Amino acid sequence: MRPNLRQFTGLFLRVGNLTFGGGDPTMAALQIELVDRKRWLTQEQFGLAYSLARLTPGTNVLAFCAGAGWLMRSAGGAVIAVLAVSAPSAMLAVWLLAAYQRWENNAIVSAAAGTIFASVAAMMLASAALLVRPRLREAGLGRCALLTGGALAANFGMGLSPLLVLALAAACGFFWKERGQR
Amino acid sequence: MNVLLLYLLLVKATLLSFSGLSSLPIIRHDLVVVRGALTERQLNTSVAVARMGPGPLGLYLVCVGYFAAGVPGAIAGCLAMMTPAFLIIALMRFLGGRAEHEAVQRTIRAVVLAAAGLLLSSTIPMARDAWVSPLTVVTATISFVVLVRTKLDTVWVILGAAIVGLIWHALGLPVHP
Repeated sequence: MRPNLRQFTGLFLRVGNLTFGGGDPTMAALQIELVDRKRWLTQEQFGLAYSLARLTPGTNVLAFCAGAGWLMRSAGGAVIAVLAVSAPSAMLAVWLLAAYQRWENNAIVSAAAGTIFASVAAMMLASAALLVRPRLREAGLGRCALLTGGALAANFGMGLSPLLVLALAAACGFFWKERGQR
Repeated sequence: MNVLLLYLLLVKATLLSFSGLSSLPIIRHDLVVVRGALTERQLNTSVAVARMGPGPLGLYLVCVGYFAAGVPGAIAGCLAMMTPAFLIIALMRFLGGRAEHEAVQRTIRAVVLAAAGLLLSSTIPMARDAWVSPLTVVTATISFVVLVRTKLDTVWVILGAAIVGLIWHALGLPVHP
């Protein structure tokens, strides 16, 4: 069923800009709305957009919105869905950043910023751990340790550029088969 | 900084990443290490501010762009965040069933695992800058455990950290040494 433009834009605006927690909660909310409630997408179409979004470089949820938008309203739908999901949040981020810059020397803001930055560095560590964890079962501990540890050593220890490290990893992944693959 | 160059550097980073903050090591390398267009602290601030609002993790690119070149830079960051998303249309048209091919899946898994290593590499200088007192180390440890062991939204973790800092300040104790 092809949605009308107003409903379509309104849904992506609402879900994209009122859902906290990043891509996964947003895609879960979109699945409920697009597949179960509105029936604008079939479960198979949702599955296709969801799985290909994982293969698309960049921000997965935006790729998902582009794919789902394209399935529902062709190229214009893809552009509208991506803009609706990200532009208002981007404006809010700039506003928050400008406010922070204005108040960063304030003692209270500085105290809060000190612990926030400590937490953000921990968030990056957690992000790395969460990237590795779901791949342990498919790739195996040794492969995960070698690729992740090797990338860390190559970049931080040997100073190789991230681009080169990723290219080497891609080559390893392509030619080096995992357990049980022929 | 030239906005077109900024866009190209940011889009290069997003085109080479597959999830969350995995573009961050490339951005740090290009904008902090090579060009000095922003500091480690500004990069850290970009991630923190982007997590305080709704929207995707990639929004930190908008903040990075803002630090590097003001509002035009923020627009460049936003466009760089959006651009790779449209590749999915080409994937839908041309890749189809091949997306499930084991060599494709294996290559992407390897790139994601290497991205985790690069993310760890980028965390080291940020952590050196941020983990400067017992309070910040304890805050970071609790944040890490909560993020890895629970499904709590990152915005609550960041807000919790802010409240800890505010309480510490209200007690007259210094957050920084």
